[in-house]
Amino acid sequence: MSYLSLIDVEKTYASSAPAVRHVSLEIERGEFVTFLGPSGSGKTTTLSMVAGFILPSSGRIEVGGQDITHVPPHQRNIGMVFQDYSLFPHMTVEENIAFPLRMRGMSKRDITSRAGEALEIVGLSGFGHRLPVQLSGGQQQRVAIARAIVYRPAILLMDEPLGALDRLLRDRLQLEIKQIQREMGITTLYVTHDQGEALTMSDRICVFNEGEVVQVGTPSSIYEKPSNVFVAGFVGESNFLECRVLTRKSGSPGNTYVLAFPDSAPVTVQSECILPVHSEAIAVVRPEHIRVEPTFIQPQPAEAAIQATIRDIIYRGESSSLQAVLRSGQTVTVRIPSRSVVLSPNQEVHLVWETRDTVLLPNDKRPEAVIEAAE
Amino acid sequence: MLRKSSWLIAPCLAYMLVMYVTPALIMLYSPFQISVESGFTALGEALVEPSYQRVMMTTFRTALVVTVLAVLLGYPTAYYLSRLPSEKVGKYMLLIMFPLWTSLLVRTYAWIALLQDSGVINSTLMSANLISNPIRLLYNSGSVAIGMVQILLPYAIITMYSVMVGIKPRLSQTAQVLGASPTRAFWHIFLPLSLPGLSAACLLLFIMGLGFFVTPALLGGRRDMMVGTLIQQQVVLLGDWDSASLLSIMLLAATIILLFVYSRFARLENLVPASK
Repeated sequence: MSYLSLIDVEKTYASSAPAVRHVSLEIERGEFVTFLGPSGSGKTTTLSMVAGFILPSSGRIEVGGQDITHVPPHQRNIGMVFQDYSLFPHMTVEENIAFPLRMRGMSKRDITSRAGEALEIVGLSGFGHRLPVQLSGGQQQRVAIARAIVYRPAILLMDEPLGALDRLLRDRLQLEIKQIQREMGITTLYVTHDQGEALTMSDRICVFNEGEVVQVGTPSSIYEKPSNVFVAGFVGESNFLECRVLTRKSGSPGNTYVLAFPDSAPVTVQSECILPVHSEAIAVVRPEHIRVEPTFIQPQPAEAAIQATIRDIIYRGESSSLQAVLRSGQTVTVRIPSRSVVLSPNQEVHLVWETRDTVLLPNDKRPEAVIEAAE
Repeated sequence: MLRKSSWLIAPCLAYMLVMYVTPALIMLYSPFQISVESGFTALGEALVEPSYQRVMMTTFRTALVVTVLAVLLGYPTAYYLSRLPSEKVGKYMLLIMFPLWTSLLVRTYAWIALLQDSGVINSTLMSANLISNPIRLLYNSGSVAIGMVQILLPYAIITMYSVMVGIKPRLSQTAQVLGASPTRAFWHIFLPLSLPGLSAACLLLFIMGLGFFVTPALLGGRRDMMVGTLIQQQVVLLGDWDSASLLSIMLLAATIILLFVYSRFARLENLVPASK
């Protein structure tokens, strides 16, 4: 039984294309769901509708079976954390955290003890009497988190909460937020455009593009089984290899396809995706799934091999990123451990990957457009 | 860079020195010409002089009433403007500034045309048979207040707006999601954050109100005389420069004391809209 439901929620503005189209989502109690997508994809608008700042043009939002679509924000019992912290500048840390409790008419004694607990949870005991301006960005966001959970709301909304912080702090706060969320069992909606953050923190990821939800699933299913070219390009790095379907054999669980790539022997791939014979398709291969063979070796039956020329080798610390050009002119990115690089630019090589690492998708969108959107 | 180009303000500075500071000092020095003691004796006498005290009381009372009225009228307007998207504010600001570009005398005489016994308001009411005799709308403290509020209102709005526009709309949203109704969000978040603007507007208007001359002189009765009018009378009618100077010193002292007290609680820079 789902706890928070978005039922065919839509938001349209008079002057422009719909901001959010037909979003339907079922979220379990205690679940951590991330809205992932580029800016302008509708994820923050959707979050604002759950918060009650924006009224949907159509559709319903339900919590525990109750329709809250028209309930004003202050009666929703939802906690929220913003990218800009949004602390009240004229109040001390303690007064900020006490604010939602005061609004609920709680006694002074309870307020003090609850606010103290919340400060302890975020590791800021002893900072209660400071003003927000006297704190660092990371500390301010911790206060904002304490303020959002102190009244034990049913749902916690986070709108790019770590967007203004530097890398190291972001990594640490990701773990802390996840820990607090798990311990409190609080249903959380988390908005981010950082796919790494989404993969690390979420129980499920909901990928947005152009106002629509394009895929919902666990981080591993989103990463390993992207259901379309956009998701494959936005979540993690991907190579999009154009190919053509030669034959299809229906079966269970999936269909077996034989694909023709330029400059390669036919490749056999399993896929649940349904593609007509002779149609153009896209084979998605992650850079880390490809290995480079300096000399031609006969590929194993479960492997695919393709000829390429190395153009560039980019050192990235633990791994190196290799740009290789196929005969067709397409560039393929390969990621290999830095220590195993014994290659040099302009070298002729073979790119080899296991066919089960191939995700087959219909060629309905030009991959270049997707990559641009992802950036 | 800043230091090198500081000569740019020299012409203005020189002008102000010659045309403003020097005459003001000469004026203030006048009672002390004979001796410093006699100057202070005269100042002490002026402070306890009943007719001066009465005028001073009227002046302070009028400035206070006018300040409260203008701020009460201006606050909602400034609030509304500060919540508008910035590209829409410009045309409203033009409308607010427009009266400032109209001659003070024109505006004051317009009030006389409206309020006098044979004025627009009285003649309309009489022709509608609502009253048989004209109501005394002019030459009392009410007409002075109306005229002054109308002139001071733009200053109140602009001063408060410049502080309010820095209050993020997000804060009110946050307060609401944390459980505050829109009304409580205003009282707990917006109002306290707008206080620097509110207090700055109060101070500015009060100080400006103390020194008003034309409007109270034209719209007020003899009993509503404010210190500006009294100073003018001392000089023009009586040729009593010393008394005029003593009254000016009192007015200036009141202003300085107010500014000093304000600076203990808030930034003086709040008084000028441009500072951020």
